[in-house]
Amino acid sequence: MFGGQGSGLRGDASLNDGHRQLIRAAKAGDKEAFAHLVRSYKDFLFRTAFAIVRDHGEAEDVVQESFVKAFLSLRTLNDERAFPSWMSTIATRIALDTVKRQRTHRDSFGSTIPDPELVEAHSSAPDLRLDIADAMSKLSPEHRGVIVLREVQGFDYQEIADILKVPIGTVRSRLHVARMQLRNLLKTDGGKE
Amino acid sequence: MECMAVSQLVSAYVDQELSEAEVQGLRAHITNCKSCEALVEEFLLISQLTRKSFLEISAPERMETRVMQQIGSAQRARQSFRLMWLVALSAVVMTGLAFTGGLAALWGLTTTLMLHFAHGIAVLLLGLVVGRAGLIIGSIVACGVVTVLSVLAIRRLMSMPLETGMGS
Repeated sequence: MFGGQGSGLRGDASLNDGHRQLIRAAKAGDKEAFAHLVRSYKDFLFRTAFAIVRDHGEAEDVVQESFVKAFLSLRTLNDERAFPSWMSTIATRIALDTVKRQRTHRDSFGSTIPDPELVEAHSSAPDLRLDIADAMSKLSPEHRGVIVLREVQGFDYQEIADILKVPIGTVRSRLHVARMQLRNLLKTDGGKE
Repeated sequence: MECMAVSQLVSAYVDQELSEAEVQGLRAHITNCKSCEALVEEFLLISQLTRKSFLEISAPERMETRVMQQIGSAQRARQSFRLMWLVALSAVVMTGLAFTGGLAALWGLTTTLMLHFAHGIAVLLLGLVVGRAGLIIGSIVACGVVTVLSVLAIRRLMSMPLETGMGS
């Protein structure tokens, strides 16, 4: 079952007939059908949004905006099977835009965001003991984005490339860098969390 | 394969995104390289931890209600926007119609005047040939002829002797 409580991994096979019917009904303007889809996909999208923006309130806003945008442009979706990746694309882009706005705002007030290079350099410190969530927060939004799309949503490299509108080589490279950074952040005296 | 080259492939290996040849090369290397084998295990562990960490996250309960409220508001806003466009478009169309109607009326008037003028010229020419204008011109010519004859008659009377009927 896709997108339900406790689940998160996507896959076209998990988009069952019930969901397809709901998508078709929602396309015809049935708000009740769309409410069912919101119920099914809200966790799926919230995880993606939260991974990128790292703030519950902001992630909630991102997901709401994503659903509203999806409902208003649902007629443009030709293939119902593409609904999960289509929703992910919308949410990921809105989340990345949100982070970009935050960056601009913070930069204008002189605040700093952890530099991935510095993070990697500091990771060798023996007293650095971070759990995975803290380690994720040290990554750049772009690296968090690929990690969540791969690890949590289960998209393959080509789908991630399509969602982020980047070459597949960039996806591969970002995932490698992100995991190396996570590994370094989680490592303490050669041990693991 | 060198360790550096292998480390670049480990991430894609964990994701099962390598070609068969790359998989064979990497497996052959890690059977003899403890550090690269450890890297594979660490990446697998990171994948598990990340997945577990995120699957514990859920959207707030109120999410659905708020989304549907926002959709309602967005639909109303969109309808208002469409209505505004409809009104604006109607105004443009009406103005256009009024303008073109005015032009059409002006054109009609001009055309009518021109037609009347042309009609008048034609009637005059036709009248010259067969109509009243011929009579008028004929009358004018007749008047001229009568005047000339009258002048000649008066001159003749003036040149005649006065004794007849005047001397008794």
